[in-house]
Amino acid sequence: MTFTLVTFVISLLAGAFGAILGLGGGMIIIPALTLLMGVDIRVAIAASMVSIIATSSGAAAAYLRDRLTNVKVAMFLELGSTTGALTGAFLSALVPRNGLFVAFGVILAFSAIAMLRRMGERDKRIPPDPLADRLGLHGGQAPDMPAYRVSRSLLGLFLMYWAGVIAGLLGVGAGVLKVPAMDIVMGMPLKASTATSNFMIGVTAAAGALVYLLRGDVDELTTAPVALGVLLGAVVGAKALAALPVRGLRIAFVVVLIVVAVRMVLQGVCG
Amino acid sequence: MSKPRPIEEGLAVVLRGGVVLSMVLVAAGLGLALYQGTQAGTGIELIRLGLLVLVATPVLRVIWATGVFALRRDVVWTCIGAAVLLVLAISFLLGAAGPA
Repeated sequence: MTFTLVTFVISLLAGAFGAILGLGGGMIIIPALTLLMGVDIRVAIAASMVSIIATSSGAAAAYLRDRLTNVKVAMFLELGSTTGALTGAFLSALVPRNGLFVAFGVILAFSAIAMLRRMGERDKRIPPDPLADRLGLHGGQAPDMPAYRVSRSLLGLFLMYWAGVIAGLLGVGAGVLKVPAMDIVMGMPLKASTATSNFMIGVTAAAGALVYLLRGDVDELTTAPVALGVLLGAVVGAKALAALPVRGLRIAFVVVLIVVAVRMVLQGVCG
Repeated sequence: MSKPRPIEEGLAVVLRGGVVLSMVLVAAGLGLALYQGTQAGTGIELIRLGLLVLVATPVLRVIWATGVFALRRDVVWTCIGAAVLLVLAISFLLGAAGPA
């Protein structure tokens, strides 16, 4: 009973946090379950896969209603992220883990710097993108966000493929890579980036989670409070995003990037 | 021609429906399992069903969006949606078959 309640409360926080920042919350759920609650790592990873989907679906309805999610950009980029996740799952037996962690950490550190540099920048002229024009990727106006133009969509697709590879290799949602790719490379507003990343991670994780579920890797009594907590947290968190200041959001995201980057490098170096 | 209803509205309904249904199932199952204090039985079955609904929800929304694009005779976007579904299906089949 205590286990269920504590897990539920931690998941509630992870869901709210993940929904706002466009992340799956696996980075919170996995260590919380294994270190704090003494859950087996396999069970924790399976629970985290379910939590990624819960964060995504729980927040998505609110973001769609607020017109923050760019559905077309999400579907276009899912071409890359799902293919990448498939590749990553295959490569996982071949690639040395330690080098991977370090590489991932370095990418995140660079993303953090690039995202900080976008602070306070206004309407920088973005290069025209004929593909984005043709596919109609540009974002319409939302109550809390101006209309915007999407740029470098092919480069974005390429980066999403690699974000998917890392997601498949490490068993994470890789929202920490998806948000910077949309924010820095494709020139989308930060709120559109986190909402669209949130929308995408559920699809990237779906195939893997379904396999876990059917194979019986999911421990019901552990995963049930995680799913409920994350869902409720995401629903509440999603209500807050539209009203949050972009500046604070950006700082929070950069802090998360740096924390994860340091952890990844340490994990890679120390084994 | 009248402006088509924005695709966001239908997708929001699909996602909210999946989320609410799975939450009800998981909550009922968890309550029952804790009450019975067992590792198997109706409670666990309900949780499993609820989690299955939850995991199926994002896939359902890709199917929904693809269907909407197909109804609009939007060839390019129907193909993009179908390609995403195809990759998901391959991932699932390979994952279900392989060890990993």
